[in-house]
Amino acid sequence: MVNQSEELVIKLQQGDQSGFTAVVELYKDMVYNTAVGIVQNADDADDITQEVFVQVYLSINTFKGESKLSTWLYRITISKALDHEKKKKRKKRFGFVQSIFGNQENESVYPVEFNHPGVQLEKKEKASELFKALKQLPDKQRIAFTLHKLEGQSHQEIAEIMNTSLYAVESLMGRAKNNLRKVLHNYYNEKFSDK
Amino acid sequence: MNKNDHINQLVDDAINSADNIKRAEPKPYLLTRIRARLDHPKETLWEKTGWFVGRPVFAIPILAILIVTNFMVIAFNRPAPVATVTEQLAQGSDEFSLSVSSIYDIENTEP
Repeated sequence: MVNQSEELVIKLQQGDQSGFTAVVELYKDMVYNTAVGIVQNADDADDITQEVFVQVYLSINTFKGESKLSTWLYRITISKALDHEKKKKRKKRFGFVQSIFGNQENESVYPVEFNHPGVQLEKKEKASELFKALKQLPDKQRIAFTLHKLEGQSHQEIAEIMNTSLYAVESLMGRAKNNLRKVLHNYYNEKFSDK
Repeated sequence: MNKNDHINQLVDDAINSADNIKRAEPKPYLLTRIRARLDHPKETLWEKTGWFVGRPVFAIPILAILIVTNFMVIAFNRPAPVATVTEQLAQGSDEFSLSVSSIYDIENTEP
């Protein structure tokens, strides 16, 4: 029996436009939410979401079906989001050169504060501080934490997405939480000593 | 509650603030934007380079540098002055006694 995502893959590989529309409708929130959790900017996440689906459309024939379609989409999203961040860092580094040549397109490389739209109103401030701390984690820890907390993925699913072992994901999650605690502890400590 | 306990409580609250978070949704008409991107793919590196080089802010200084370089090359590579050539000719004529026109002139060097 062919499940929904396999059916969609077959349709896409046959060039069926309705299949592509269905894939976008089915996975757009998943892709966008993952991207926004990593890059912490709504416009950038929207751009990444578009790039992900363009790549899906163009390279669906390379999808062998060894993993789930959602796993493949997560991998593309993570890769695109991390690439996007690297490009932004590079742009920031060469911002001075760009300003000499009069290219003022990207003045703000990182927003000061990020508010995830899915956070409950009373938790907004705390969540904003959490996202700020999250930025300081190494990529793998950040990805594991984002997939777990924002996408509600189990450790086993994260292991499949990140192409690693369950033990490695548990270790990443443990280190991510410890590092977050340290960063947040320092942040609150400074905040209260300033007062 | 002392300061450290208070901070630990804040840290826990911050970490737990992401619990039960709702999925963020992209802006409307995502599919239209994706289709537009598929119809008009992004520029290649060469196209971007062409655009960058072709901008007046880049092209005009480069053109100016080229013109100045041309003028400098012309100015510093002028043909050797005529006097130098005459000097060389005079030296050559002395060496080969080209100015001597007859046996009489050789014998009677005194004026």
